[in-house]
Amino acid sequence: MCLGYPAKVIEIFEDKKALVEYLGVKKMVNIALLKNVSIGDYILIHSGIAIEKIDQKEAEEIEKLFGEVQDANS
Amino acid sequence: MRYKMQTAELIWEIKNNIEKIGRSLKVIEVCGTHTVSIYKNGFHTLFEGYIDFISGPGCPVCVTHEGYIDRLVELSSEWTIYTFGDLLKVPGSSKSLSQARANGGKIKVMYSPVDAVEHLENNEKVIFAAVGFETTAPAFALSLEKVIEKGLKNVKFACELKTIDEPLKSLLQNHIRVDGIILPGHVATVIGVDSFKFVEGFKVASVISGFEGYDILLSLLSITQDILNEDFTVKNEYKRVVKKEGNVIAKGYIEKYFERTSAFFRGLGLIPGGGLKIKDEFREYSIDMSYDNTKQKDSLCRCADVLTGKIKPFECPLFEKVCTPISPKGACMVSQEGSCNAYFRYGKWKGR
Amino acid sequence: MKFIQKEHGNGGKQTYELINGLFKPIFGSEILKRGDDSSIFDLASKKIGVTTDSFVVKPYFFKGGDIGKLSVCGTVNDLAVSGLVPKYITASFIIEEGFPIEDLQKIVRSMKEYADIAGVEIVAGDTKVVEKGSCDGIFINTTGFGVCEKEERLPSIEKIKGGQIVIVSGDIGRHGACIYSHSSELGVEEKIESDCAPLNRVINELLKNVEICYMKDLTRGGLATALNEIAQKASVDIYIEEDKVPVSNEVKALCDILGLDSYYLACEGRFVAVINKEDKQKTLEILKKYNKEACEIGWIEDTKEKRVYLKTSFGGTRILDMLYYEMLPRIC
Repeated sequence: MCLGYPAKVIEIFEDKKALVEYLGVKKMVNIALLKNVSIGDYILIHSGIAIEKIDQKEAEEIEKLFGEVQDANS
Repeated sequence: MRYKMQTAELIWEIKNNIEKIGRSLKVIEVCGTHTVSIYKNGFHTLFEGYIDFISGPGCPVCVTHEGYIDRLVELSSEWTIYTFGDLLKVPGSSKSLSQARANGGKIKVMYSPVDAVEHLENNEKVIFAAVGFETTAPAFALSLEKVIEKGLKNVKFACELKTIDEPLKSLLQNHIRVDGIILPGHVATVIGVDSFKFVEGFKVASVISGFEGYDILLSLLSITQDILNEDFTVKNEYKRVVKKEGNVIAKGYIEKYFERTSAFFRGLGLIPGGGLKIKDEFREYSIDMSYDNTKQKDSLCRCADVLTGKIKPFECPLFEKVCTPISPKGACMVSQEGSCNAYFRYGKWKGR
Repeated sequence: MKFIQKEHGNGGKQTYELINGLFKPIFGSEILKRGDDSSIFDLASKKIGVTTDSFVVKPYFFKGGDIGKLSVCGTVNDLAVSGLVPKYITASFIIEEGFPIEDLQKIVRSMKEYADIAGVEIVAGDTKVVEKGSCDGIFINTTGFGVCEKEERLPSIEKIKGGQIVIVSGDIGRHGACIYSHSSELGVEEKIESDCAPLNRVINELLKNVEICYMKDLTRGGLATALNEIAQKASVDIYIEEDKVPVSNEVKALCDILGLDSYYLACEGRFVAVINKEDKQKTLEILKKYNKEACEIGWIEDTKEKRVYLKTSFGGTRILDMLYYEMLPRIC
């Protein structure tokens, strides 16, 4: 019921907005639902709104893991 | 540590666990995005004979009553309806929003309700078709806040937001017996792991899952291990996002602007506490959407049975014959997340 | 700035000025300059191919192209994948009153530029101006004529059989993603570049060097729709490997953001080819000179279910069906 995508915070603006990047695509999103967002954070976006920060350590694990999935198949 | 596992190994381990359990498993995914992920990744063929996937009531489009669409169609002659693309093709009793648009109805597809509000002018007459579960509810709460801040007087919300806990309880209590539940990762992001503790009372293995193929596999592994261990605590596979308490700010927004109400779910009927409505103090921003939810068009459509896992999509007499994505008879075929639609597009397979 | 007015389409003086002041100088075709009611030209060939297409893209200027380039490439590509050498095209414009003449000039120049690149001559045209609101800016129809150089080399659906392989000429979905990335509400900062391009040079080189059993350009409906059409017409099954289909990161990103499926996104400069296994190396060698992403993505089976199957990254198999409706951005 809920599509979401992870994105990296590139720039933070007033009015609770941030420029994020996901696989090379840059887009403005709303970050009103998060506190203490910093540049470089990974956040999860749903319908243009960040609904949670992504745990850096867990995200790295996943990144590593998806790398492995690709390796396993190639 | 278990992340180090390779895909093939993971699949082998899940199957091995199921062999140890000694029978094929019924696993329900509550969320439509999970349904699509399962079918897109071909897990229905990969686990054939091992896992029987059932699609639950977690697609907001599928569970929406046609009366809601009818009312939006009616309103679109006077108001501009802002809707997610998901809702556009859902058939009402006479027309879908897409057909209404072709007949001159004012209907706009939006990406984000918050961004949409920013672009609105003061005198525009706009209705937001607010559908979705707790993941989407904060977006509409934020939009409502912006509408108030901007002093927009002609913007209303047609609130048909749903909650997941009550329908899930009803489903588990009255409709279905399953071995495992894949819980909705993004609803859980907002409401938290603790909000799913009630599932433990049903003595069923459950896990909050992310949406990548790998997430689903890890969740299936968790479910099979829990069944073997008779461990019925709610697990959280989607730790990188989902916290115990959820997103407190997002929950605060929901509580500030919405309150629980009873809501209609196709297949489950009227569920007390199953929906969210705009609080009385903000009622000037709400538009009356009341429709007769006891009436449903007389049809052979068995969406209700599909949504409650009683039948597989292809067991419905309409499936593929008269009900297709081009001319859908029921909501499960309309929504790209609907189980009939997913089954139609991805599911057919030799020897079905 | 000057704008198109109703008078530009009334057949009188202003129409004459538009044709002689804008279209003819830019297109610069000798045949067109004669201004006769019909253009007469020579096509010395036993077999002649003709195709027609209308273009209604919005926005009409997009990253990597515009409606003019699109209208030339689209028709050139339809001829090229049929195994023909494109020679002449016609262009017919339906323009909304109030359309900026400067924009029209840009579009017409771009048509000329890509006609030159593709080696085709624009030999006939027409312009109609419609009332404000009757069309969305500008619509272009192009018709193309191509000749067949070697009949035995013509790809045909009858040549498809089990054991052959399927090749795609580059990464998929760029044009569709480009158009979505331009929608202002979405707020994507840097637009995705369309793959819009004429394919006749690469195809010509292929036809001279290897046997192409069948080709199809990927336009509306994307890769999935093209493959399904082939499976239907040839009465075969097609198997595609998910991991092999080239999709750029930005197209993947846009699909995830909007809930779209890259297999169904339009391309305007890509094609699939069915070839015999032994021609694989040579074919890829040629294709890769034009686009490094070109690769083998699957194979043909004689099972006659007329379906396209996708082998997923996880080892599952599923159907890859046709596009059933307009793809809409969604939240769920």
